[in-house]
Amino acid sequence: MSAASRERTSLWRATRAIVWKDLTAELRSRELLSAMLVFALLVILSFNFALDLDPKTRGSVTSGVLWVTFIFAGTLGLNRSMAVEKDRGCLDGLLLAPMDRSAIYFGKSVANLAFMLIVEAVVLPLYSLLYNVNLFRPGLLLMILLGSVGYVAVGTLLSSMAVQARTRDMLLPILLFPVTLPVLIAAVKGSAGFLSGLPLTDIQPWINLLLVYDVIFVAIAFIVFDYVVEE
Amino acid sequence: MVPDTRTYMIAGYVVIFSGMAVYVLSLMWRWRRRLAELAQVEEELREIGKAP
Amino acid sequence: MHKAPKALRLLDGVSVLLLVVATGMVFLYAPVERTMGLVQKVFYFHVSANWIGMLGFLVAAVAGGIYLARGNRFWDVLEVAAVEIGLVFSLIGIVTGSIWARPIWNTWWTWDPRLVTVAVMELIYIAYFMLRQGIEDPERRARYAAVYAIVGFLSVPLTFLSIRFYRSIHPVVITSSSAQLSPKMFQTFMFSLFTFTVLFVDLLWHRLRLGLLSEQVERLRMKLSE
Repeated sequence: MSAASRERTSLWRATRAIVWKDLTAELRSRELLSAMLVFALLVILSFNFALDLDPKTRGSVTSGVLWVTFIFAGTLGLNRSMAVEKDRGCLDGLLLAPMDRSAIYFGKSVANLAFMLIVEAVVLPLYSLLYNVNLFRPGLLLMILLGSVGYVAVGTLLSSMAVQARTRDMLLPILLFPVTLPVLIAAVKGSAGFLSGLPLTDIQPWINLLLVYDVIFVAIAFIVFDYVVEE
Repeated sequence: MVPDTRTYMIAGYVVIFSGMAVYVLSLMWRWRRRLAELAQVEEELREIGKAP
Repeated sequence: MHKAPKALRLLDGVSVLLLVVATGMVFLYAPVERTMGLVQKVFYFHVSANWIGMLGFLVAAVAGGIYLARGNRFWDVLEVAAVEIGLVFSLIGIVTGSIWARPIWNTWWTWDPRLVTVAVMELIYIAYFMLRQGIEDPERRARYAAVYAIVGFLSVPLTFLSIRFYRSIHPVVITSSSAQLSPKMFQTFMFSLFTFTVLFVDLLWHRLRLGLLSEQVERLRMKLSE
C-alpha cells in the first residue's frame, strides 16, 4: 500500500463515506425507512381516534400529534440503525479504520437525520391531505429541521450505548425521552406558533432554545463519543 | 384566620424523616452484608492459598 | 478494620446536631405562616431536599467527567453514590412538594416548572440505573454511566427553561413559592439548606465507602475465579 493510502482519512471524507454507506444500504433494502413510515402512519391513525381530531380541536393539537409521531418513528430508526451496525459487526470494522472516531458519530447522525427527515417529508403532505390543513410553512419546516437535529444528535449518542445492553429496545426511549424533553417542548410550541400565525417575536424564544440545545449537545456528543466506542 | 393544615405538616415531616431513616438504615444494612461477603471471600482465598 | 475514619464519625455527629437544630428552628423559631398555616413549615426541608437532589446530580456529572478523563474507578464509585443520594432526596422533595400543594392549591400535583424539572431529573436518575444494569462489562458500564450523567445533567437547565417559558404563556393558578420570607423564616431556610448540604457530604462519604468496599469484594471475587 502506498504511503498516501495509509494516511488518516480526513474527518469530512470519513463522515461522507459513512453517510453514503448507510444511505445506499438503506436504498437497497429499504427496511428501515419502510418500518419508520408504516409506524408513523399507524401513530397518526391511533391519534385520529384517540384524540378525536375534529376540525375545531385539531388546530391546537396538530403540532403535538406531528411531533409525537416524529419522535416515535425517530426512536425506531435510531434503534435499528445502531442495532444493524452492531449485529453485522460493522462497528468493529469502522473502529479499525484509520480515521477520527468522531466521523462515526457524525456519519451515523447525518444518516439518522436523513432518515428522520425523509419520514417527516412523507408525513407532512399526508397529514395535510388527511386533515385538509396546509403544513407547508417555512417556519414549520425550520422547527422540524432544528428539532430533528437536536433529537438525532442526542439519540445517536445514546443509541450507541443502549445497543450494547440486552434490553436495548426498551432502554433507548427510557434514556432518550427525559433528556430530549426541551426539544419536544420547544419544537411543539414553536411549530404550533408558526401554524397559528403567531408573530415571530413570540416564537423566537423557542427557536433560540432549540438552537442552544442543538449546539450544546452536538458539541458534547462530539467530545464524549470517543469514550463510548473505545474498546 | 389561619387554616389548620397541621395534618399535612405532620405527613410532610413523616415523609422526610422516615425517608432519610430508611436510606441510612439501608446503607448500614448493605455495609454489614458487604463486610460479611468480604470475610467470606477472604476466607475462600486463604483456603486455596491465594490470600490477598 | 473497616471502621469509619475519625473525621467521618465527627461529621456524623455534626450532621445529626445540625439536623436537630434545624428541626428546632423550623418548629420553635420560625413563625407560622398566615395564609398557609402549619403546612408551610414543610417548605424548609422540601426545598433543601430538592437542593440535595440537584447537588447530587452536579457532583455525579463532575465525577463522570473526571472518570472519563482519568479512568480511575474511584470517580465512578463517587458518581454512583451521588446519583443514589440525589435519587432519594429528590423523591423526598417531590413527595413533600405534593403534600404541601394539596391543602393550599387543592391539587396533588402542580405543573410548576421546578417541580416538573425535579420529576424529570428523577426519571433521568432512574434511567441512569437502568443503563448501569443493562451493561455487563464493568469498565464499559462506568464509561457509559459517566456519559449519561453528563448528558443528563446538562439537559436539566434547558428542561427547566422550556417548561418555565411554556408556563408563562399558559399561566395557571400556581404562583411562585418564594413569597416574601420574614427574617426568622429566611434564617431558618438558609440554615436548613446548610444542614442538608452537610448531611449530603456525610451520606455521600458513607455511600462512597460502601461502593469502594463493594469494588474490593468484586476484585477479590475475580481473583477467586482465576
